Parts: sequence; C-alpha cells; structure tokens
Amino acid sequence: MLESDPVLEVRGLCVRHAAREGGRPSRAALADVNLQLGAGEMVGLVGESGSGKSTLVRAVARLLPAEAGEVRVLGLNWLRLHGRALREQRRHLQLVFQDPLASLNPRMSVGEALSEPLRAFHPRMGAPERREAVAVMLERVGLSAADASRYPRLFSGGQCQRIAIARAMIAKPRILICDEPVSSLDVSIRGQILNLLLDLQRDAGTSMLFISHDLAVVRHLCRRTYVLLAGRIVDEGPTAELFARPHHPYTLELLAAAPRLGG
Amino acid sequence: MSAEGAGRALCLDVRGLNVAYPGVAGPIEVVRDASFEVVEGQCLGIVGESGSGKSQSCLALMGLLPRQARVGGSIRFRGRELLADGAREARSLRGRELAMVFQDPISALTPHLRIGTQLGEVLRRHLGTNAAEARTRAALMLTHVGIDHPEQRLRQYPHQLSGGMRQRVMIAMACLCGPALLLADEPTTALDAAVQAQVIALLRSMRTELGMAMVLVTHDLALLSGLADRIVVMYAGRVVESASAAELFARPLHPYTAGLLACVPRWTDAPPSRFASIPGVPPGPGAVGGGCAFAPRCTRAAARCLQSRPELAPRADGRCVACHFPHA
Ligand SMILES: Nc1ncnc2c1ncn2[C@@H]1O[C@H](COP(=O)(O)OP(=O)(O)OP(=O)(O)O)[C@@H](O)[C@H]1O
Ligand SMILES: Nc1ncnc2c1ncn2[C@@H]1O[C@H](COP(=O)(O)OP(=O)(O)O)[C@@H](O)[C@H]1O
Ligand code: SF4
Ligand SMILES: [Mg+2]
Ligand SMILES: [Mg+2]
Repeated sequence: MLESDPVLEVRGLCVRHAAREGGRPSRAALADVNLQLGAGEMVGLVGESGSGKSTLVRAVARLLPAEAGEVRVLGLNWLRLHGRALREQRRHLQLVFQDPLASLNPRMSVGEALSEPLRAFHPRMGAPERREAVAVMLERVGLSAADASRYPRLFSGGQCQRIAIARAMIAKPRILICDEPVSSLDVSIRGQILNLLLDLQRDAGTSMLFISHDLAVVRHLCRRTYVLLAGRIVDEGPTAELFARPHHPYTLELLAAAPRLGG
Repeated sequence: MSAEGAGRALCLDVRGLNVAYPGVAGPIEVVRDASFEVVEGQCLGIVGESGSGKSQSCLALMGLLPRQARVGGSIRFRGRELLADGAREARSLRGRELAMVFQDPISALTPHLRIGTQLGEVLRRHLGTNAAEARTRAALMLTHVGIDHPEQRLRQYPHQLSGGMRQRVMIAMACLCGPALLLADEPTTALDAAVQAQVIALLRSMRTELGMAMVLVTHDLALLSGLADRIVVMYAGRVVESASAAELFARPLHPYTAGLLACVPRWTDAPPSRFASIPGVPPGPGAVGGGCAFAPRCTRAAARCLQSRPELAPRADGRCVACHFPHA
C-alpha cells in the first residue's frame, strides 16, 4: 500500500444525482468509493463512459454534494471546510477537465485566466512577476508568451486544453486531478504534455489522479490504477500487475477494447 | 482519385478551399487551397494537428462558419455547388442530406431543451414529421445508437447524460434524416476505450446500413485504421499528404505523417521514461511564411525547405505528398 500518509483520501463516498422531476430518485452514481492518493504518486482511474469517473471528480472538487462518505485533503476533512479555510485549501487541489472550452471563461484573456490563481493564492506577488510567471507557464505547455493577450475562442480545442492545464498548474498545487486531460490534444503533442505532467510530478512532487480512456497511457504513466464500474471500484492494484492479470472480468473487457494501431 | 473508387460517383468534391479571417495585418488564412474528394459510400479520414483547419473545413462544408469568415474555392456535393452565391438549395441540403457530428457535444446540444425536443425538431424542420411520429423515430434512433431506456432519455436534458451518451445522441441526431454524407468531427475524442470502440463500430454499421459516405475527422491515426478508405493529412491549413489508408499506414511519406505514427503509444512497448512526441508546436494562425510550415519541427528540414513551399503533387507512383525530402 502507501508508503506515506495519503494527500487525498476518499472513504465510502456515495453520490446520487438529483431525482428527475416527478420520478423516483435515480440510482446511486457513486456507491461506497474508496480511493487513496499518496504524496507524489500518479494514480490512474479507468472505467467505461457513464461509470461515474467525472462524478467522482466533481464530488471531490465539491461541485456536487456527497450523500455520504468523507474526503480528506492533506489530512483535513475537506467536505466540511468553509470560508477562509476552504479557500486556502483549494490552492492544493486543482483540476483539469475533460472539456477544455467549458473550463475557460470566454471573456477572459489567456493572461487573465492564468493570473487569476496567482492573485488568489499568492496575493503578494507583483504584477511584473505575475506576467513573467504566466509567460513561463505558457511556454511550458507549448504556447507562446504572446498568447497571453488572446481570448480562448481564437484557439482550437487542443490549444484551449493546454491553457486549462497551464491554469491549473500555475499555482503549484499539491494535488492535480485530471479528467481526460490529453484526450482532446494532438497525438503529436500528447507526449509533450504527458512528459510535462511527469516533470511536474517529479519537480514539485505533485500528486496526480489521472482519469483516462487510454489504457496504454495509464499503463505507462500510473503506478497504481483503480477500475470503476457503475459507480463502484471493482478492481485496483499496481498498474502493470492489474493489466497483466486483471482480477475483475470487466477489466479484461476494457483491455480487450483498447484500440491498437494496425488492428 | 482512388483506384478502388474509380468509376463511382463523387459524393463530395472540394477544390481549392480557402477560409480566412480578417486580421490586423491582413487576412489570416486558416484553410489554404485544400482539395479532397469522397466517393459515394466511402469513408475519408482527415487527420491533422489541432488548429490545422479540420473543423474549419467541416464548418465550411456545413455553411456554419462565423459571418466574418471569408470562404473561397468550390464545394460540390452530389454535383451541386454549395458555395455559389445565394445557394438557397445548399441550406436545405445541409442538416438533411449532409449532416454533421460536432467535436464538442456540449455546445452542439441546446442546454435547456430536452433531448426529445431537440431530436423532434430536426425531423419536423427537415421532413415535416408530426410530433407523435417524431417521438417514435427519435426513440428508435436512440436504441440504434445503443442508448438504453430511450423513452426516459428523451425526457432528460443534455447535462444529465455522460459525455459518451451525449456523443451518441449527437450521432443519432445527425443520422435521423438518413443523410448521404455524414461529417464526424472528432466524434470519440473524449470517450473511454470501450465506448470509443463501440462508437466507431456504430459509425461503421450506420454507414453500411444507411449507405452513407463519411468524412471522419480526427487527430488519432489509430482510429482510422480499419475504417477509412482514404486519408488526407492536414498541417497548418494545407493538405500535405493524401493516400489510401493501407498505403499511408504501411509507408508514410511526409515526415509529419511518419512522426504522428511514431507518437501512438504501443501496447507492446515497455513503459518508457519519456513519451514520444513531435518536438515544437504547431504554427499559430497566420504564422506561416514562405517555406514549409512543418520545417521548424522537421528532422529532415534543409535550407530549401525554408525558402520554397513544397506543393502537393502526384508522383510517378501515384502517391501525393507536399515535401521536398519525403521518406522513401
Ligand atoms: N446532473 C445529472 N443528473 C442526473 N444524472 C446524471 C447527472 N450527471 C451525470 N449523471 C449520470 O451519472 C452517471 C455517471 O456520469 P459521469 O459523467 O460521471 O460518467 P463518466 O464515467 O465520466 O463518463 P464519460 O467517460 O462518458 O465521461 C451517468 O449515468 C450519467 O447519466
Ligand atoms: N473565428 C475565428 N477567428 C479567427 N481565427 C479562427 C476562428 N476560428 C478558428 N480560428 C483559427 O483557425 C485555425 C483552424 O482551427 P480549427 O479548424 O478549429 O482546427 P482543427 O484542425 O483543430 O479542427 C486555428 O488556428 C484557429 O485558431
Ligand atoms: S519540405 Fe522539408 S521541412 Fe517540410 S516536411 Fe519536407 S523535409 Fe520537412
Ligand atoms: Mg467523464
Ligand atoms: Mg477541430
């Protein structure tokens, strides 16, 4: 198991989406989910569409209420935090979403979008320093410093996702949750972004929960992996072992469906 | 024109397509002199970097570019010119005979309308179907694309569906009127492996059943293997290589195509310390000078590549590539 205390711990998390009007309450979207992320660890989460991966992300990010269960972020009872304590703790947990356009404000220039977390979490940083940090970050994700003055709609989908990743990473969070972070990026630069995530993890010791449909990438990136099926964790373990000898028939099914070049 | 498609009618014939936007220092060209064709019933794959103009080309075909866009060239759909001035006809074809699945299903679906209302509206607008029949046909189509409990789903709003389900709804919506050509712009980009395989299988079977031709846009070459008949590779708004799928996978000629193939992580590889990628970044809009747009990222680049732009030209062996020093 983990060598050190987990930076993120999910215990018995249950989430139910709001009932449809006039209907019975819907079935649980997440049931008794347990998950741990160690310091500096890269952990994968895989599962078919609708299995609840994004629901888990949204619940952990407090964008959806949890029905039961507990989430601990750096030891604090995260779902119970309020006010200033919550704002301060937020700095340590950042997200990159599946849909790059939805996560960027169309009326904010790229520079403003990247400055926002710096203003919030490093209020004493001066404007020139902030501009410099934004320029460095943009270049790090494969854009140019000059892009700071442009608006999201002028970028293609892939370019927007790089901006979203830059925005999440600029305040150096301890925990980064990525929901399909590279699936909308070019195959030609996915490697650069994955390498960037690897570098960040190594340099800053960022822990990462990495949600992806690309099992080949998860296999190469994540030391441990969880498999989610219909809102439940059905399989978990060291990735290499899990993919070589899956315990659950569903893991086997996922592996069989993975696209292979030339297949 | 491909050998296997020889003698069969062209469903789509795009010649010298240009899309430009006004910029401070003159027009910014985002699609430059792009030509490609689709034979009736066949599948054309368009592959390229983000920003290479794939979506802009599709939107031009659908007549959905923003007002400030300047479009040039010719788009013939089943013999009819879609870019002619005042082509009212074009408007009625689009959505009915020529339908599109968008890259971003969230913005393509109206958030405050139920799925059933949106599907029904497509049938009403294009075919004049009445409400009761529209509901039956919409439910049937949802079943067809693999959505369980269709009646229940018809009453839901887009945000209540997972990403994968939304994309299935988009495919159902595009196929409702039985189009002759389906444009699918990155239809499986955000889906997990199992569903991606299902959606691709779904597109393949819909194409056979409905006898549709298809344009499948993607940045993932692996997706096109086993599905596309021909592949067009775009870079910085231009077509840089065009070949049958079999030829392209077996022997990529353009250094960009070869690089793309090398980037796909292989299952058989041992976990690498680094992931493979093409160095550098794709050029931004309007940033292309006189030479080859790929030169800053190309390992084969020489002085000539910076001075003159390679034209897309057919070679003696019938292959088409825009490169001064293509792979053998
Ligand atoms: N706001 C909502 N109201 C009702 N049901 C919802 C809502 N959001 C999601 N769901 C349902 O919860 C389940 C899990 O959805 P979720 O978005 O977490 O899936 P996912 O694993 O991220 O899938 P994908 O790979 O397609 O992104 C699905 O059945 C979905 O229809
Ligand atoms: N409304 C617009 N004004 C100016 N440039 C645009 C506009 N929409 C798209 N572009 C630019 O056009 C280029 C091609 O974009 P697109 O066709 O979406 O690429 P992709 O190949 O990723 O689908 C990009 O560089 C993008 O920034
Ligand atoms: S023309 Fe030159 S720079 Fe361009 S792809 Fe060919 S070898 Fe590379
Ligand atoms: Mg999701
Ligand atoms: Mg696109």
